[in-house]
Amino acid sequence: MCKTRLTGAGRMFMPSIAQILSWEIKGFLVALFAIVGGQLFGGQINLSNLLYGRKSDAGQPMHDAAGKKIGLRKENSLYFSPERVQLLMFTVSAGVYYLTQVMHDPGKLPEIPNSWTTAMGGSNAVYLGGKTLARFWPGNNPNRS
Amino acid sequence: MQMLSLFVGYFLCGMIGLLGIAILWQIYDGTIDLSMLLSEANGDASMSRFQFLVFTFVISLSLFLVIIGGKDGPAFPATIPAGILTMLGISGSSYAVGKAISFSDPAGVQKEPLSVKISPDDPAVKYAGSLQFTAEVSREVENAKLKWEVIAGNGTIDENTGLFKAPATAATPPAPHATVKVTLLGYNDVSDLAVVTFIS
Repeated sequence: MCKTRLTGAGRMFMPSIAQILSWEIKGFLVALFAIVGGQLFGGQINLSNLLYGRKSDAGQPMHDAAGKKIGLRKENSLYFSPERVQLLMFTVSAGVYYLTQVMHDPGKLPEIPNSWTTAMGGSNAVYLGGKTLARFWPGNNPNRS
Repeated sequence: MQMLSLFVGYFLCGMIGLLGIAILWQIYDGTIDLSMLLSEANGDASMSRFQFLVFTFVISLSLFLVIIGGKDGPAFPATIPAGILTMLGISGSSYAVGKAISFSDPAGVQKEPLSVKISPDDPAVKYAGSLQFTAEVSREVENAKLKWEVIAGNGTIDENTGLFKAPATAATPPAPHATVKVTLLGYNDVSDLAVVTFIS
């Protein structure tokens, strides 16, 4: 694959252009992943409310424990979103699974089982369904379960 | 001629390498700002964007490994498995539909209003006693700093820490309340109030 070139009197090894490019791309990708990963875990890339959705409930009445109206909601409320959690788990699992397959046999891009694409489609459908419900049918309970 | 083409090849390799280093450095030092890479228009992080990011990294790394791992030297794979394209299609479609849902309602794209909430908001404190106030800002603001002040009544407050000290004794005529105000510096209209009641 990456041959070294013998130059001059055969005393000095020069990497081939393909080899240099391979090192450059490898270094670039690794450094890019490291920087983006570092910023994700370090908090520089905004991840706020990644697992929370917003209900379109601004302007809806709020009630106290006795059922008495105490005002109107000013902002869209946040709710913990299980549909986002399951999508996160499916996404990370699919990514790790595929990378593992490639590293096991880097000669070709491995096939993805049909069950995985079906599961990913279902997972995205659940996520979009939850998002649609929260946007168009937010209900009156600010603490959506 | 062969030497010239070799020289040009190495020169281009060097230029590509320098370009890569420049991009990485600018990302590292913040000139290329990635802080909102995964954010929606309203400032919340987006699960669809996160999925896109993960898939992009996985596919690009896999493709690179396969290209350099070819048995007969670096080569682009002859076929791309349909499963990969399906996964990317699902992810892309989900992103587009999610965007459509968010943009179908103005509230879905408005940034959360900047506000500050004081705590406790209706406290009571004994004469000569002290009380620590805190405040929460609704969303992240760079170098956010709060200013504390007593705008009515007796008592003092540390303008930086929010530590309130009640007067030693009741005033004459009686003034059993004080109003504390917290303001987000740089945003004069972002503030909150609390009324402190003095008790014996």
